[in-house]
Amino acid sequence: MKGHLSSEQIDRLMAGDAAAIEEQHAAECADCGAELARARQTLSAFTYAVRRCAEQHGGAEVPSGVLVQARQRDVTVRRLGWAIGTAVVVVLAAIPLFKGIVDRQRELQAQQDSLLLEQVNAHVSRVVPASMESFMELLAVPDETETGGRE
Amino acid sequence: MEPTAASDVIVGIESPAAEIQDFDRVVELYWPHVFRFVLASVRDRDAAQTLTQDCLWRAYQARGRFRGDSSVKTWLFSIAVNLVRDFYRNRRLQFWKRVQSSQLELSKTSDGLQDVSPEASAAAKERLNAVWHAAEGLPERQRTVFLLRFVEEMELLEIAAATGLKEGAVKVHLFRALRSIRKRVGSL
Repeated sequence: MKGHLSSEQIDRLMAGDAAAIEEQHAAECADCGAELARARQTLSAFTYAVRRCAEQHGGAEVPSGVLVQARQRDVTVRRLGWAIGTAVVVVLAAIPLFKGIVDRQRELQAQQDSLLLEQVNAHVSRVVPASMESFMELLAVPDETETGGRE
Repeated sequence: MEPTAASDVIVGIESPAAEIQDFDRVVELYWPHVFRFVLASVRDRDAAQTLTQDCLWRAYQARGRFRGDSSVKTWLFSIAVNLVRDFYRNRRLQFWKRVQSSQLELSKTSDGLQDVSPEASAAAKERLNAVWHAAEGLPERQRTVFLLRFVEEMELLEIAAATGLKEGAVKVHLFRALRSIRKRVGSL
């Protein structure tokens, strides 16, 4: 390999994606080895600094009650699950009952409707208006059986 | 000092499926790991605590379904990665939260920079803060992969398992993350 490793090749080495020839060059070339070591040192200092930062923000120890909270949450979620499940079962069981009531109401309504229709039909099919009916009875021609006796 | 990696403590003692049964121990061992990854991702202490708690609660709920195909650490991180992703998606819709985005800074102490001149120490601190801010501006996947690699020091295969990416994709995201950080910082 001629010359030195480019910054891209150094990054590739750091990412574990370098070719064997690049790795060999980094191992043999003092300049490239130093460049790689410097980059690695910066990143290991970064690792250390982030860990320190996390420790300073309370990451080193588990906050008290985390597990208790997790278990309580678990129990709450289970209870909620049971409650939802029960509600679903109740709703499913109520559907046929509700459907039966609705059907019965519809039947009753249909009966009432047909009764009303019959009444309307009877009213509409009258020969004379209702107020005239008594008068018409007076004018009614006696039928033949009644008149036949006189003749 | 950084305590011994949790996975190192228990590997070889019990299987991941058995390990998950003692959930108190799981919380004790992995809380610091998950918390610092989430903190470095969301840069907000309260949000990080809530998300870490959510992560462990979800793990607690799903512990019966954990078959031990991966390590407990990887499994917890896969949950944490999803929670962080959801957090950013939700925050995208909450513009007022973006405006008051937390200004979490890296430690101002010079720990880890002993035996260097004040000028070199200042330059190193400046470089670290530049990396910290550059990492914040990375696209979500690149940032996740970068933080898992350089904060949690996870192996590429572990990162692949935690993020659901292929190992090759992890390398590509890591390479791109390093490229953009180098572009923003100047040199590492």
